Amino acid sequence: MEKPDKIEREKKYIPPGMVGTYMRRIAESDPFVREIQDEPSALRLYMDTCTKCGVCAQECPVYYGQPDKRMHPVERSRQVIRLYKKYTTFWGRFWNAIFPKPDFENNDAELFSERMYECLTCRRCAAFCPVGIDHSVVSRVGRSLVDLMGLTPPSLAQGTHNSFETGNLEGASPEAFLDTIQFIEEELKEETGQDISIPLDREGAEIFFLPPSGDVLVYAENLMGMAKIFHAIDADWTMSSRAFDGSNFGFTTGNNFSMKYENKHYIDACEKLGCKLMVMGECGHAYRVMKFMASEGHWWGTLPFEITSGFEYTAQLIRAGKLKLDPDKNPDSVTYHDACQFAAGCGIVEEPREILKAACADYREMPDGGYTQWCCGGGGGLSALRSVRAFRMDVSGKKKAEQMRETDAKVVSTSCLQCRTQLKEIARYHKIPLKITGVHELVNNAIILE
Amino acid sequence: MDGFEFFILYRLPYIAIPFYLIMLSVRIWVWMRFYNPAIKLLPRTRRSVYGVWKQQYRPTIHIFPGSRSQRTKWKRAIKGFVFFTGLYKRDKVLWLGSWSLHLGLFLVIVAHVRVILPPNLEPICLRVALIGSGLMTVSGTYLLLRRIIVQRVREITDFRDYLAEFILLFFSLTAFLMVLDGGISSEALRHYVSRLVTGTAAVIDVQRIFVWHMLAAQLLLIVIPFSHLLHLGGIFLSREFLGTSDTFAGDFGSGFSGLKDGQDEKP
Repeated sequence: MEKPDKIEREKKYIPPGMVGTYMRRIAESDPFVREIQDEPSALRLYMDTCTKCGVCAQECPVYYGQPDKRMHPVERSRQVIRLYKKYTTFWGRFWNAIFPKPDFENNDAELFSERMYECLTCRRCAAFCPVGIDHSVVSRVGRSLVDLMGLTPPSLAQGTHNSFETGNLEGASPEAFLDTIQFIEEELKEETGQDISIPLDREGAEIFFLPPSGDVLVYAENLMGMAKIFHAIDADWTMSSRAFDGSNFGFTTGNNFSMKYENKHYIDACEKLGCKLMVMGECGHAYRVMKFMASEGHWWGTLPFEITSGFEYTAQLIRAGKLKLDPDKNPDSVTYHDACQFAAGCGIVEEPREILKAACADYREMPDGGYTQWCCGGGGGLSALRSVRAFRMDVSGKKKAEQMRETDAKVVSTSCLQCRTQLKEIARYHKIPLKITGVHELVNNAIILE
Repeated sequence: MDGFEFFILYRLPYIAIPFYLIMLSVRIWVWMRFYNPAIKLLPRTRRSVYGVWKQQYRPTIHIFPGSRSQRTKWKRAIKGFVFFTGLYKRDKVLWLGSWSLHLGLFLVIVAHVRVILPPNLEPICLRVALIGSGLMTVSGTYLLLRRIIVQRVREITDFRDYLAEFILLFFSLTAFLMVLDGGISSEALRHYVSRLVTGTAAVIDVQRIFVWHMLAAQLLLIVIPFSHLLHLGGIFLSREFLGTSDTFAGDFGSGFSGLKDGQDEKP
């Protein structure tokens, strides 16, 4: 049973008529195209102001990998914009009445879908465009259309489905999660000789920790690192056995409903446990949606807790001298790959570097690192798609592979699960002898527990 | 004055100028409506449009958010807007072409102020117009050639883009040739404008190139609202959507200084 004040609050912040409009719209004869009408208002502005100077192509990792018209950011955006014009502007409707054309190139909606997933949504174009056009916004509009048509790539659609069914992308049951947590606790005990617990569902705890499920089920070293940090400072923290996946595929697929649902799922969990601070793990999509869209955009009203990322949290502890790290435990030279969503989407650039400099003996910068880094080639959900592996390795990941070859470091650390998967595959595919890690994985090695 | 001259000088302006103003207003209205859909509530709403916008429509997709003071944001925005420093950092040749074109356009507009200035300033204004139109012609030619030659630009260019750039080049070239030929006296110009305002056509003592320049200027007014030449409003609004002014200046974030919202830059 929901609390009455919560129901009131949600009613207040959902724009009136939204549900009815949505339902009417999907009942239209051509719902797919009409759907984009109310997508980000930036679309219309971008449509009018692009000077077609080609700077975006110069900076796009996909165009760098395959410099032809199909991979051009402007050409990709044009696919969406022409649909918008065709159905919503006077001249678009006028010309379509005289010279009707199919909605999609070659009448092929699947080709349209493929093209929308050739954008990494890394926002590098937006950083350098002289008129400030963010092609990732347009691509997301296209993806929302693709999603509405049921053409979202199966693995992403499956992840979204799993989120609806189980609250996590992997589709793991709470029992499987509990088993994994138990296993991690045993590992921690074996490694440190100390009882480092990972508290679950503790009501009234101060901190709610929310890693992406991959950091629990696949790369547990990141979770172990965070658990050790909380243990070292004797923090009052908890995780939820119901909402343990801080990721967001709805943001990637352009499905706003799914994006909001996934977000609300862990907001509810944090609220239910009465925590004061939500610390989010190494997933840029989820953090950007949570911090800069849901929280600042007041999707669910004013949230009764603060939100921070694991990087900001750990860096703050290091600055305050509350953590003891032994850099010699990570003796190899380490470089850092900025995940697009953390760097260009959330402005988190300095914190991971502070952590790595404290936790590693030899930190080196990756070329072009920082706010305008080159995407790994697996951004925008692509690293989850086996079907486009060749594209990821030879086209979108080409620049990153070159940078990885150029770096003289032995370890590449990154702040995102998707980047990590992609970088590992690049290293294997291009035979680059580099080890790929998470940031808190290196903290896990270096932390000194007393 | 033949029929062609009469049409260009005394009939087309009554079409081109209102058309430009109306289409520009429509364009600005559309942008505003998309930026803040709460405007559509006017004039019936009793609630604050700003309040509705802030609560429901405020763009929340940021790029490089926060991390610096308002002073720094303004400084970067002005620096970027005046000197195109963001573009300078990425592509110096394109910057040279693009910045010169805009500087030339600015000088050409400034030179037209001579209509209301004392006659002794006329030679200076003509010099400014010569430099401005010259800059526009050279840089406009470069930008057009770049559009034709560079693959990544050519493959996204269509007929309308070429047309707009040709008209712009036609405009600057006629301006340059006209000034090179001695220019039009302020007196003749004032005479023409007063006739235009009062709607009484009269023969004015100008060179033929002035008529061509007027034709180019009016074609430009007609084309601007429909072409990529109108990006002035967009450059500010699109940065609002991005939540940053930094890309103007090509400076990103706080420069690894650890600054947060509201803090000033370190000295």
